[in-house]
Amino acid sequence: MSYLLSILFVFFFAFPAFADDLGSRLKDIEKTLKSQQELIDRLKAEKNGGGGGKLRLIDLSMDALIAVGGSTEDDESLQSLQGGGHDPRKRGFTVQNIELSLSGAIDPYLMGEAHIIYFLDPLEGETVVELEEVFMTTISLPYGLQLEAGHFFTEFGRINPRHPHQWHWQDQPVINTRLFGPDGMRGPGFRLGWLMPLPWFSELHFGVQNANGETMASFLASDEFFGERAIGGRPFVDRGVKTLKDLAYLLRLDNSLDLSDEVTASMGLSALYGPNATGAQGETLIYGADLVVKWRPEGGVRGWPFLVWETEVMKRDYKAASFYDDSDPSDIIDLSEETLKDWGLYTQLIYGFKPGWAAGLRYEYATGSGESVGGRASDPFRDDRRRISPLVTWMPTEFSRFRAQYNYDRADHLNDKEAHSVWLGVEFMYGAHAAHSF
Amino acid sequence: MSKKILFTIIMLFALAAPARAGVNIVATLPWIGGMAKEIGKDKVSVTVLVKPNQDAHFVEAKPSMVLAASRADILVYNGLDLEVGYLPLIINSSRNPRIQAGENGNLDCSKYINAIERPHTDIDRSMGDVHPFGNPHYHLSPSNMASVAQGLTDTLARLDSGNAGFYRANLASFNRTLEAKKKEWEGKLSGKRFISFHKYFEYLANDLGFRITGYIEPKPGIPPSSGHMARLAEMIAKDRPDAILTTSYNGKKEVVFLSTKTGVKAIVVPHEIGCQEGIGDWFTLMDMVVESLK
Repeated sequence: MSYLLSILFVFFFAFPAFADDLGSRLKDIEKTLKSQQELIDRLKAEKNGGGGGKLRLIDLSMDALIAVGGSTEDDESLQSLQGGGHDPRKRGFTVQNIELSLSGAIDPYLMGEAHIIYFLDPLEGETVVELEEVFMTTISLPYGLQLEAGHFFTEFGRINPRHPHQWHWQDQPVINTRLFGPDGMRGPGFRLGWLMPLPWFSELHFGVQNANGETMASFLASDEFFGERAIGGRPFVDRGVKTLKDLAYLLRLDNSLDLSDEVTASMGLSALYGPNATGAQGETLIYGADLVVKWRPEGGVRGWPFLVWETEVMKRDYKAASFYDDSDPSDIIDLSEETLKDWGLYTQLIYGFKPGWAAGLRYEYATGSGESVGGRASDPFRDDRRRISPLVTWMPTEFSRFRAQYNYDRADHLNDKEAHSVWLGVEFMYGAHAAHSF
Repeated sequence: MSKKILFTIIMLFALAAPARAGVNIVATLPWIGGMAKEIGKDKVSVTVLVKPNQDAHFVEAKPSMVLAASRADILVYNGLDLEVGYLPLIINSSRNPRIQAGENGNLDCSKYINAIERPHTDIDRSMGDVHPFGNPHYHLSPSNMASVAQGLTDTLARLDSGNAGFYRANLASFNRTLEAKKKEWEGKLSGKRFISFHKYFEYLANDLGFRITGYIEPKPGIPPSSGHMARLAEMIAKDRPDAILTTSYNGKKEVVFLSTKTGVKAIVVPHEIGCQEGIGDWFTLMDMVVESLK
């Protein structure tokens, strides 16, 4: 009896203890096994995983700019007040610019790039597709030369050659809209850049582009463009291309100097010359200067803090040809030759004050001389105008950006002479990481 | 008078034009410039694009960098996509045929190393700044640096064959110092456990036998939220690692916060040649790194 009892007793106590011991040992073994398996998998994967490079054919990326906001001006008036084709320009939401970019190496000598833009017409809601740019660039011409050929933005100043998502503000400067039209000046042609053998960065650009088309506002433009925004209210004259004088020519000198490890200054001078759409004698000269000073201290976090001061001044001498039309005796049009002069500037300062955050202020001024048909003061693209735009930007990562901008406008063509607008914008990009141009 | 001005201008140009001493090397990062000097010594001139305390992930392609690249005989870079935000633009704008991809003058140092943390599943940007080819911060790794030095020497010897013997002799001396130093560093940090702001010390940890047990960044390159910081503080207080590590250019605020909260020591590890006074070459850098972690 006592024998049985003691056996029971032993079982009673020892079994769970034994089981406990076994269980924990099993767990240990399982753990070791698992970690060893992980190690084997990792080593296997490392052995097989890397090494084999992939053929990179096209780098694809998508960038979307969408804004919401309102203004004291109605939608119709906003079409000229926010005259940039990708400006926020509607009470409510504007799909400003959806850009599809494709780039890649063509062969050992050429790089290719294309940018296709989609947006919604703010009034009609219709989807608009634009071939913004498509061009090739040489990689290794001798003597510091680089040739760009295709359809591309004209290298004038700072804002015009850059895409909307590279701008700090949500809308393009007033003077850019006036001189280069809603979508910026671009066209088919070629451009030669020469990196000059100087101790500092100095590049000279010479370009030739077609002078006609809706994106060549100050030059031969198009009938349709003149229907909406005739320069000086002048009638459109179809000139055609007869000689090399009927193309648009660019000259630009771009200089950049590191003033210190933290401060870089870039100065540019640009000039454009070509025929315009007012008649056989019509010709346009546009010239401007730009300056950018950037401060970015060495020990910054993710590129913060920073300070960027950017200014551009530009002027257009638009020699409008004389025009006479008596086909309708009740409405004889008789315009004499006149040079319409327009000039303007923007200056903007943006300060990245803490990682992800920046605040900026932009001031703009535009004016001119020489009358528009119907008077310059009532011409929304030639009147005297000032705009002040404070801006706050938040960038959670380099792939998304939220902006809040207020525009105070003072313009002669407005009924109340002034307007207030607020725009909130979101930008997101995904796809290949494009290197940022300076 | 006008002659005088012309003369002055010509003199200015002559003086200002970069004096070319031997092979013109452009290096993206300071440690690469340092390695180039170890091997090339006075037979090369080295220009470094990125400053020592600049975050190598967030660099803007300055025109002066394009200018330097346009005159380079060799462009040497870290690779593994660390320079993806600016280097492609610099190479394309440089119009320098010598440094285009595939040419002898285009030297990606990472092709000589064994990259770790290569993702084995598909990755995307929701995972943060994951580098598809592996962790790019390999320069604090004695085991990888020997092969990088070898690769650099081979390239120099190929492009400047007249001095090949000189470069090989410098490599041999570099390797001797490296072997001696390795013995010195070995074991000094083994068994230690650290928390790190960024995935910056993994290669070193593998080489010297310490462990990184956690990161302040929730995902590579993504700054921590306050909730994540609170959880980290709790974890660190319980886990008691030897220290919390960061580099001069990021995460100082977070590291100091966690250190005061938990009492665990914070260390700003010298991470690049030139990031502190007196760190003039890679060996000094490594000495300082090991010393700071002890």
